[in-house]
Amino acid sequence: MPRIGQILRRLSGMTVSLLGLSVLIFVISRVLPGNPARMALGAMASDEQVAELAAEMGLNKPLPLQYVDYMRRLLVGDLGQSLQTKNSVAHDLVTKFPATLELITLAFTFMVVFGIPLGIIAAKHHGGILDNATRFFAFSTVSVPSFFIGIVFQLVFGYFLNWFPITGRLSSAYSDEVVRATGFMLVDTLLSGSVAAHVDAWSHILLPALALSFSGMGQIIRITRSSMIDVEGQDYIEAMRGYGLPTWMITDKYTLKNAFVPTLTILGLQYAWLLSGAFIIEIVYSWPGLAKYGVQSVLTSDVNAVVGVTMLVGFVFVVVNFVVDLLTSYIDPRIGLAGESA
Amino acid sequence: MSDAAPLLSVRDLSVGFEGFDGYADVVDGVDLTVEHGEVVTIAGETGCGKSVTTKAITGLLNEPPAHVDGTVEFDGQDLRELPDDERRELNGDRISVIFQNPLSSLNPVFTIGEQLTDTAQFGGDGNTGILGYFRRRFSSTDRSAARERVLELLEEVRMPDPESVMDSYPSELSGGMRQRAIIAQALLNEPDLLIADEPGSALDVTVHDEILSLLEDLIAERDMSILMITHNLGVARRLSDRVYIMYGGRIAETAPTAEIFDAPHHPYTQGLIASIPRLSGESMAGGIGGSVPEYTDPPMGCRFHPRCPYADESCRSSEPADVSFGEQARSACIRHSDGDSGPVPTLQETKRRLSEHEPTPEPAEGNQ
Repeated sequence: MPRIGQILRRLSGMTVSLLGLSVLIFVISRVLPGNPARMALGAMASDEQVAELAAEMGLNKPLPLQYVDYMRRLLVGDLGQSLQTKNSVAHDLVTKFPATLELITLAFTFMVVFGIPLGIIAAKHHGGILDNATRFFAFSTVSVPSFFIGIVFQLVFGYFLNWFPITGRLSSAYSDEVVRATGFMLVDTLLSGSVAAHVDAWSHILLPALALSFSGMGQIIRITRSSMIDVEGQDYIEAMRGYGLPTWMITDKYTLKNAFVPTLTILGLQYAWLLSGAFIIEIVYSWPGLAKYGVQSVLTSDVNAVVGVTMLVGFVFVVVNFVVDLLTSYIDPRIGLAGESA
Repeated sequence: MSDAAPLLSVRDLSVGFEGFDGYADVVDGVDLTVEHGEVVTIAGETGCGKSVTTKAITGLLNEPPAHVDGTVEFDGQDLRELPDDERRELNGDRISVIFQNPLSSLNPVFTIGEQLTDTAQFGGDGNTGILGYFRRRFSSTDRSAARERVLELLEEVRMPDPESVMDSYPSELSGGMRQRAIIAQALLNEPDLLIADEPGSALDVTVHDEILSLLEDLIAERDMSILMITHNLGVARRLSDRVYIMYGGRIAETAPTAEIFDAPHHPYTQGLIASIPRLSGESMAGGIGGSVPEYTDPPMGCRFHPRCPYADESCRSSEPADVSFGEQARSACIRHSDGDSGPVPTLQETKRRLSEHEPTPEPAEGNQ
């Protein structure tokens, strides 16, 4: 099988896009208005102090040299220092990102677990009440912005019904007994052996994850439904009916696998889009993730932090797309990996 | 043969579709029978309604948009009256189909082995519930028995290297191999009635010929009835015992194969045969002018009249009745009737007339 070669080729392609991404992000960050050194030192600092810091940060060197410096340090995991928090950017990312990753992963799970079955049900009852109800739901979730859904959830389930807390990741009562081992609260609470803390972590993450998953879920429902209906009209499905295979086997085995390819493509994009959606939801739910850090660093011209956050988001995008490519070519052997015409 | 009830008996079958252009009357009052062990062909031009007829027989038409009328009797049961679940049990068990296009009839994302083994294991079990399915799905003895069965069939259809074909995806096989695969798939559950929709028609001439001789051998070895569809009269002559000639959603003529090629009665049949040099001795340039009718607005009377070299006013005003020519032969043309004074169509005369005939243009006299 030429699979290994294909994967290697795709991997090298991925490296090239990451390099291109790094150039782009770097250049954009350097042409942002505002002098980072001035922003870091504040309005009270003298011009000499600002010039000194700028020299120290290498801001007075030519752009290509700055880039080479940056990349050299990036390779050893040094993203520079955040002017805002005074920590290394790498450290900041490692502490903030797990919260965001946990949120979008759970949101993604909701999207898959509810979106795909709903799409299948809608397709099976094509034109019926269930189909129309599901489509109405999908259409509403796609068209309503996620921050609005987030606020409505807070109001209904948090304020009126008082079922869930509306901000944060964990109640302060538990914060001492939970050891931050992985950064994922649902895992850490279990590792600490506290069931109550684990339940508490769930109650915190449920609303933001659900609110975050809704718009993507609508997309997944719609694409699953339409590709299921499309595949059901294909000759090979009619053939399976002609050979008298169990009807639900035709749906769940022979239709779903074909219909899953477009869904998978959308899922890949959705996972990455969840990252940007999370920036808004995190603000609404005061979720201590990457969003607040990212927004703050843009507002304060904290260049190293901006580049770090953007690189991370871009990296996730590229990796997710790589995985989607692999899965797609695994499901449908006719689809070669990029650059192949299998 | 004629004593026992026929295996398949279709009476007054009509199929129409509700479309954007209005109601399309695609199959209109078709009668046909297939006896036990008989090979019967429906032949006709593309668009004459032959595929739709077989889909109505197998119950693969979605209603709506299709409207189906008439009776389809299989082994004494009216399939149209059967409840859905009993109907499904017949498909893949007693009735099976070789679908027209091997490439699109095989699922591109499953290996040949996976699809055929599932067909062997679950074919004809359209009503298996979810639990029964899982119990059998994970029974390795069931599975390997089914696999053995598939390998046997692949050998029987002379598939080269069956073991590796089992692990191949349809896109990795040649057209001929795909055709063999779907023939094997159709035969897996030993059907009593096999419906073959244009078998091999998408293949090049030599492979097509191989597939036909394979079918000939399968017909000789197996005890099954076949209803075959083809636009190729050579195929009909080679494989079948009896032929139905279909035009415009109606049966124009039927007769045992030898009779219909020796002495065709219907002008349309005569025209078809005259168009084939190998069958008629010499070639006739041009064939039958015109094309199959629009089904949303079919011609009045005889649907063939706009293209028929014998047509006159009476063909337009009345639908021709079947005239019997012996026990198994009949033809639907007004020229056969006793009271009609027009010339009796013969192959030679039809040929002569067709070479001079201009088909009535479609919209002409449409409002009259």
